[in-house]
Amino acid sequence: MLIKLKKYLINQSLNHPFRTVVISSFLTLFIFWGIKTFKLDDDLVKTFPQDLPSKIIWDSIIDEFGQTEFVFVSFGKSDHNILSDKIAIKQNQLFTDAVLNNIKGVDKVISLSNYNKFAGDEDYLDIGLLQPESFLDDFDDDIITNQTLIDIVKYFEKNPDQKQRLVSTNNDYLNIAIRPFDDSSGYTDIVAQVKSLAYQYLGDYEIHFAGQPYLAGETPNLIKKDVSYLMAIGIVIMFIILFLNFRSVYSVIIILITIISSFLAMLGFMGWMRYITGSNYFDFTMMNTSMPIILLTIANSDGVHIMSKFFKEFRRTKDQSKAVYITLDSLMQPIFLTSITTSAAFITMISSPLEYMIGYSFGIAFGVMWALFLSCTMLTSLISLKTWSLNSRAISKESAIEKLTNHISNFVNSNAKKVLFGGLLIVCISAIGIWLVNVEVNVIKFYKKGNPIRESTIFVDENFTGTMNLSIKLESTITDSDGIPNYENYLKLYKLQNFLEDNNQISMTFSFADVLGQAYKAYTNSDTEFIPDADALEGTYTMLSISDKSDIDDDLASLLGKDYDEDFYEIDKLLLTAMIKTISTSEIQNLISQTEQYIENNFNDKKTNVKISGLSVFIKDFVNIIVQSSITSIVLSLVLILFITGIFFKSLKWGLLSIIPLASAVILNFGLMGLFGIDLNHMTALLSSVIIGVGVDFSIHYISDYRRNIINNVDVEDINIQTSKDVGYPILLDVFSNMGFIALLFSILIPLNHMGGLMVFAMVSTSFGTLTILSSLISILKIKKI
Amino acid sequence: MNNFKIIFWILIVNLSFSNSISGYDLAKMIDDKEQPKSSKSIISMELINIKKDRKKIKEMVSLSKDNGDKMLMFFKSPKRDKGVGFLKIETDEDDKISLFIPKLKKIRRISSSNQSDSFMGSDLSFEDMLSRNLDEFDYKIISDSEDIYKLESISLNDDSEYYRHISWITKNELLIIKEESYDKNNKLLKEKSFKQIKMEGYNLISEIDVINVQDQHRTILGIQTLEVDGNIDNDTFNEINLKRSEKFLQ
Repeated sequence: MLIKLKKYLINQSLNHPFRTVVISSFLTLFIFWGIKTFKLDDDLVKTFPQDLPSKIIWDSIIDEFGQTEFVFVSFGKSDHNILSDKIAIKQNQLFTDAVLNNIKGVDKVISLSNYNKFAGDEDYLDIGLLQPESFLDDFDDDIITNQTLIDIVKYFEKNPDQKQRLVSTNNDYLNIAIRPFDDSSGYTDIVAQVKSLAYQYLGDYEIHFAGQPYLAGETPNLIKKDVSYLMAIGIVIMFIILFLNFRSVYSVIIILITIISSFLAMLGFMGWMRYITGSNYFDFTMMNTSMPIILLTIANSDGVHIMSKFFKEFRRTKDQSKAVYITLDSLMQPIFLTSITTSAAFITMISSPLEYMIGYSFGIAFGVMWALFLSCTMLTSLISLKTWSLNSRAISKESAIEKLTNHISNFVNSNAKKVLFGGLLIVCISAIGIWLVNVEVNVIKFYKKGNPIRESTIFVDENFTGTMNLSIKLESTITDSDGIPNYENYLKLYKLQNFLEDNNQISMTFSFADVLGQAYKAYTNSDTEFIPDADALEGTYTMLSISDKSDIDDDLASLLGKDYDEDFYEIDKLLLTAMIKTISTSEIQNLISQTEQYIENNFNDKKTNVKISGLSVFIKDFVNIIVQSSITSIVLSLVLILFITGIFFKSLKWGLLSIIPLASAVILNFGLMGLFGIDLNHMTALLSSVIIGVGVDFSIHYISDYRRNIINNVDVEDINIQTSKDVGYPILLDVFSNMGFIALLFSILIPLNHMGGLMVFAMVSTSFGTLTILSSLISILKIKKI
Repeated sequence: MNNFKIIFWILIVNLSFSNSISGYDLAKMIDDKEQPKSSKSIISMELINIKKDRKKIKEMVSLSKDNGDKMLMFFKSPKRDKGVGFLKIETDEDDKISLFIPKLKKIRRISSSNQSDSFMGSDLSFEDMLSRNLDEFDYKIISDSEDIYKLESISLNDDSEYYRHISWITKNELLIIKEESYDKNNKLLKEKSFKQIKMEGYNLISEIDVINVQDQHRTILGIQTLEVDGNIDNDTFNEINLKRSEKFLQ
């Protein structure tokens, strides 16, 4: 049946090229029409797996205590005392009010204008707003306003820990923390609105933005913009390299038409699937950003092989129709096989715990198969439609890459054992690097040093309390049914906070113990927030229960849970938040391990349960899953490819040979990542699939051509060198044309740099695996039977 | 009972009114009504969180004198809060509010700058606990039906938490039976309703029900026992007695 289909397609391309182009274009347009239901979704968090333990804890914390992550906006002027600048204080209040009144997704804002104090002196106990509500009304009265500023400065002098949250170390910047609602749909819109209001109200000052929601809201768009821009450059470079080798604008354009049509069909397919299944898995999220690059690379491979083969056959046979026929006859089978294996390799990604990989893998698989369809119909028909001249330079003369291929082929065949040994040695040495691979998922580390986003985060980290956090949920008896507090648990919590604050990476911690401490300090007019005994703790609870809590109700809900009892009876859980300055994923891992160890040693009674989470913890686990699932996917893919090629070639031997270059390239890829300090993250982990997708193409083309040469009775001594020359050229041209993606090295985002570098490396390593290791192995084995 | 100064003007007067009475006159007549010289009461305070559907009951002992200008109050229950004392002394010069929490062993004065703060966790504010100075309001009778006056009192005090109050006053005995209080943005903040009893010739409030409509929180203050015109010394109302809750809770 496949042979019939092959003959039918060859016939259509040769005898009805115009009709074939029209039909294939129409079908592509129809699929592309699905774009109307295609959806871009910037919500990175939505794509996270729902059943990850740290995600479950994180969700429960958000559910019980509200959102724990903040967008930070800090503003001011270097070396300008902001606490003596009444206009800055006024603008701070106007901005705070504007954010609360105008941005629907914002739940809470913590700023100087709504900060609550627990103040006490020899005369009075004063609980309420630090900055009087009447500040704006009294703004024109200098005496009142100046007194307000003096009172604020005095309060902060007495409470430096609280100052750290709102005012920079040098008193030159103010910080505003904005908390999105826990059910807020993505951070992109909120971040855009916050930025717009900040420039409107705080535009006269230097402004810095930071925080995990800010990065999560800002990064996906930046990645998309950067990818779109740099990919366009990549395609132009691809065009130039293909043109320099084919020396025919027409041939390059028809390859690009095929590639772009496959890409459009893939997007349309995602839209149709979304429409048909109603599933969000077919949304285009930040994780899908690598799809266009992967598809363009694989689709380009098909086109380059067909075009190179046609030129070679046309040069040899001097008959255009015959050249098209031979090209299709000899390549349709390997291209079909490469597409099937590549698609199968991508579909193995549905085994990933990330549900959104279903859309990713099916989308790419469809794009690859559509590239196959278009390469065998539209591309060959477009070749047939043109009358090619034998005298053109494209046909008559070998290109530089063809000459290079011939040199490589000769060298490999003359020094097969040395090449094999050298190749394997390189693979073995690089394998050491696998153990050095570092997982880095801190989004701020995506940005290069000097980038304004990275610098802003560092600024907020250095001048305030840090922009990341760890959330520790403590479930235990805080107060009993009579509202009597458990002093032992208070002490444990207090000591845990001290333990955490002793760590240089943690700038501050806060929990309900701090509220109690501040109330105690204010009431007793003492110097310490430490509550010395059970009676004092009980009295502090009493004081808080009879105090006006309307201004701190939100704070208490975020510390004790949304359903906390205002009289503090039967409190059985609380949240401790540790603010962290930006640190690497491995440092977070160490911090969590140390904290878990401390908790295990100090909270060991059965009635107490302590859980750690936070966006940073959760993202760390999330990426571990991506990495693990990528490794699983690679192994599954190799097995699947072995199985498919084994069946297709009816020989386990060929199946094994086809995965050797792949396995070598995978080891090289991860090994060199470790040796050169390229981090594994959301983007780079997914790129291992490029190696599979591209690598399998190369080895299948090589083996198919070799087997065809056996069938054609090519002399056994020449068979490998012949294959190497035949297939080596399109392989190398494919590699060189994809060098355009080196443009990604100029991105502001480090993962995109790595993506560009790894794309190029994947091409080099897979071609290296095929043209050296596979070729020299076959040369040594001198295989004579198919 | 008249220790709840929020209701300082709702004691009885047996006066008759002409139809042309002004808002100020009405307020003054209520203010001038004879009140008990002193009172001692046990009050239950029911705190209801409407949003969370949660209820708490506390009990207090209260002593007051001089038209409520002096007041001493102690928590009787719950167990944790027992003995917490509250002392208020209003004079023409200033108002002193002191708090004593036995377990913290210290008397603290509360800043008068936070008049809008909740009194003892209830929906009444410290401002509600203080006497309303007649001259600090602009009065207007906005409705005059057969039985009821509706009196609007617009605050002239910038420090007040309220912009205005609207009070429903019975014509026959000049009793306030309901009041709405509006915040500085003229948005309804609290709804109060009052129940009265007649005792020793005075019309006295037996229950105050306050709903903070913005916070969705409600407080019901109910008088459990009441003695009026008893012999309470002026010396009772000093800070030393704040530490002697046992003496008053017996």
